[in-house]
Amino acid sequence: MKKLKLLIPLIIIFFTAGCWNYRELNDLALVSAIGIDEEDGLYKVSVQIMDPTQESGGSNTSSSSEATPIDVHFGKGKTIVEALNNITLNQPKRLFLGHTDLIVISDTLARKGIEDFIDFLLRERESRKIFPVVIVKNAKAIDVIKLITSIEVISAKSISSSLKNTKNNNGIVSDRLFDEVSMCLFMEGREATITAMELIGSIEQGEKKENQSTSEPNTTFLISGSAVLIDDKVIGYLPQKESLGYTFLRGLINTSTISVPCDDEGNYAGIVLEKTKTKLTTKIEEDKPIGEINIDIKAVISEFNCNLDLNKSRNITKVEKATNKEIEKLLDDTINKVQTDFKSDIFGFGEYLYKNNYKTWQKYKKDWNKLFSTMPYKIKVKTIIRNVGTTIDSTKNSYKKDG
Amino acid sequence: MKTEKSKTPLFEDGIKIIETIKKKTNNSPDIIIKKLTFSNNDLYLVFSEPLCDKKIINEYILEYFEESNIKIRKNEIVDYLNQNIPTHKTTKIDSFENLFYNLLSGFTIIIIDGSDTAISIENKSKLDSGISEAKNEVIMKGPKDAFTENYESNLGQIRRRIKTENLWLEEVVLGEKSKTKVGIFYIKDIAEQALVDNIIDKIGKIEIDAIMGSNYIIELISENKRNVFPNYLSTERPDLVAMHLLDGRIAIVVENTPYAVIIPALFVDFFHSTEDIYQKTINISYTRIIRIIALIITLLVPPIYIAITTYNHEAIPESLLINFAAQRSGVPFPTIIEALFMLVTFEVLRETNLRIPSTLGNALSIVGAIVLGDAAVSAGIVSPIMVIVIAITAISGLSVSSFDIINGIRWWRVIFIVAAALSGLLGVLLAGIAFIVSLTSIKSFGIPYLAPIAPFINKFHSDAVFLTNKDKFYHRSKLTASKNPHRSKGE
Repeated sequence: MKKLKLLIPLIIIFFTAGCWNYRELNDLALVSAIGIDEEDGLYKVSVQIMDPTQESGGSNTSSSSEATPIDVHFGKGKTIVEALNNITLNQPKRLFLGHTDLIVISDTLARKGIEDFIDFLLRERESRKIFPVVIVKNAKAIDVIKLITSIEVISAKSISSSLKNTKNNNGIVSDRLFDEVSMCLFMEGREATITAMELIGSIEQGEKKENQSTSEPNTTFLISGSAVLIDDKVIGYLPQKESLGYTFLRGLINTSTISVPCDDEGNYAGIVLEKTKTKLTTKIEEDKPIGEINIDIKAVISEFNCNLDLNKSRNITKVEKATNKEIEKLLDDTINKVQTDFKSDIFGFGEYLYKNNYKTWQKYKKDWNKLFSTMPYKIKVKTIIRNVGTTIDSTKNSYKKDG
Repeated sequence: MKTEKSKTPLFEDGIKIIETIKKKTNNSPDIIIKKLTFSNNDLYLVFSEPLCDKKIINEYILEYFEESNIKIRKNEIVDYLNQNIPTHKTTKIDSFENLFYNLLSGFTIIIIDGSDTAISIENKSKLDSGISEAKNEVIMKGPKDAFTENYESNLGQIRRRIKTENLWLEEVVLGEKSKTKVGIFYIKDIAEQALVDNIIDKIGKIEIDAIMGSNYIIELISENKRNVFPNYLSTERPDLVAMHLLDGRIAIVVENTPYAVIIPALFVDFFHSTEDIYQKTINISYTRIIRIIALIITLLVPPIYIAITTYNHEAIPESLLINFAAQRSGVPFPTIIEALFMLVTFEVLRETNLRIPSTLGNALSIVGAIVLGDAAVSAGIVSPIMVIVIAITAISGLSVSSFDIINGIRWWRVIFIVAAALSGLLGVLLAGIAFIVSLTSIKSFGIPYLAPIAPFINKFHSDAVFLTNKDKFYHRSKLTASKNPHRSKGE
């Protein structure tokens, strides 16, 4: 009897708590990407739903080759939730956002502000907060959602893994996942940036399955740089080169490559940057902020086309200096462009003050972006070349010697 | 023993004794009574035909009486015969209870007219099939002999392995009707005396009409009646019994049972195999880890599959989820029904396979492959992934050699599956807590069931999950052998 008394609450716990979240897998529409546009003053939210029967070709399904691996549906509403709910009106399953890989925002909407749907995504409990957010420059978000890409059939996966590889090996995009973007919005002293992309080729053709069946796809995406924000509004775009400079200044480079002119004949050396350490500080002198950037780089020569004998350490130093100069120039261009074109402190000079000198920050915080746009700065880059690869001399040089 | 309480003494008159025997056995045709004369005195030879070796009776006993013509006094006959009959074992009997017990155990009884003492002569015939290979606990290396139904032969097989005089045997006869011999083996200078006394005491107190097997005794003396996990090891291998005796455990051998029972048994013991003694120790550790992984798989794979496909879709990589979704797309039943259907089918097949005569086995395996295989998938009843899940579960379940523990785990698998179906991974977690609580609350004859893992006893991990090398393998388990804790002179 005593045991029975213990058992009853246990059973009640199981049955009352149980099943509240029960969803059979076949009743779910697995959303891989969400696109957000604006139409007639309403949000137009489109979702890319992975079609499992097409994707994996399970043994008990008859997959026709004409069908696309993704379905795209959209709904409209005054809020994102309403729009998402309205998607149920034209497709049979319940939307599941737990595996969302990508959020695409159209340029026109991003210029008006992204705060509203950041709020939705932060509140929403199903999705993970680690998907990338991109802004599409020259098309609507739904066009990216509809795109069928070649190697990876689902474009959301294709774009997000492309972003990941770019981040690890190229450096044009840095770690700009949803959580990072939303953090930037709440942070003092640094404005947000969001990865920007473009669609190349005809938008109509990109929706068809033929796009996948040609060796060179008609339509594809291109990661084109970064969008610069002030508060929650996009005000402009950094092209690829300056976007790389931005990643340098934020210290988010994993590995990157840079071409350095190494002699007077216009030859280049390919330098792979392996370890980069960025130190960004802000000083106040005579009531005005001065930025200071110190970068330590450990690099490897992986291509060398110059008439220099790499056996001599003097020449290595020469290459190091040339690398320093090249990177300094890149960073200078980047800061200059941001200061003149956007007047938005995306690098975090203000953040340094906020963290290290709070009282001063309180004083300047009001019109920091204005101060930033005229702020003088010093850049110092120090490169150490650790390795020259598996051969020492350039092929050009050894060819001459032998001849 | 119960029988000692109410003894009826034998009569002096031989004819009266014979009449009583005839009356009590209702003139049973297999009980033979022969009248002889020895030294001018009447003797009666009583024996049960099927149980006795007729050759011994003919060649030694009958011939002896025919040839001897010694004259001795009437009151000395009993002592004289007791000493001089040419057989290895004679005992005096002075009560009817003893007489019947001996008669029906295969002894020949000599009743002497005019004396209230009879003599019994051991001449049992061999009724068992002889020592054969172990059939259920097959190992590659190591001895192949196994226990048989013959009690004496079983005792011999253990004695043969441990030749110390400290291997003590307590014998009791249990069962009002069956009168089954039960032998309790232990090594005097290793085993805990308190445990031994406790168990002998408990066994002595058993009141039952018949003991049909060793598990009768365990069920009657165990404090762990409700739990599904066994607190005893039952084995048909005398070498395993010897190994455990050396660890201070107690072996119970029951007449007519080809299995000996070792108590107390701990949870880790079920992941050890007799094979472990004969293989390279470092490789045994690997095998044991595999066995434990197999246990976890057989317990957790179906519930976790159910949990992630019905509740926690975010917990698995999306490409795997798409795969699952594709395979589930044609199946009309909820995942839980699908899983239970497959599981029940498998259990039915397994049960059938155990009971079926081996000549029908082929037919069964063909049908089984259809029900649990591709045909079930193409019929649209189950998804291919569920077939894989149940197949993995079934195979892993068979890798733990002990039948007793697998039967216990089947219960828990169902509990886990129901919990997963009710509240997903949270349910699996709750069931997991219940599982561990249940395991830790068991005491196997006074010893924590999960020792030496919980409570964690570092010193005695030399033979728990990992087996250390023999030269470092000093310790017997402290829990069962504290007074003689070292195997070798080391340390």
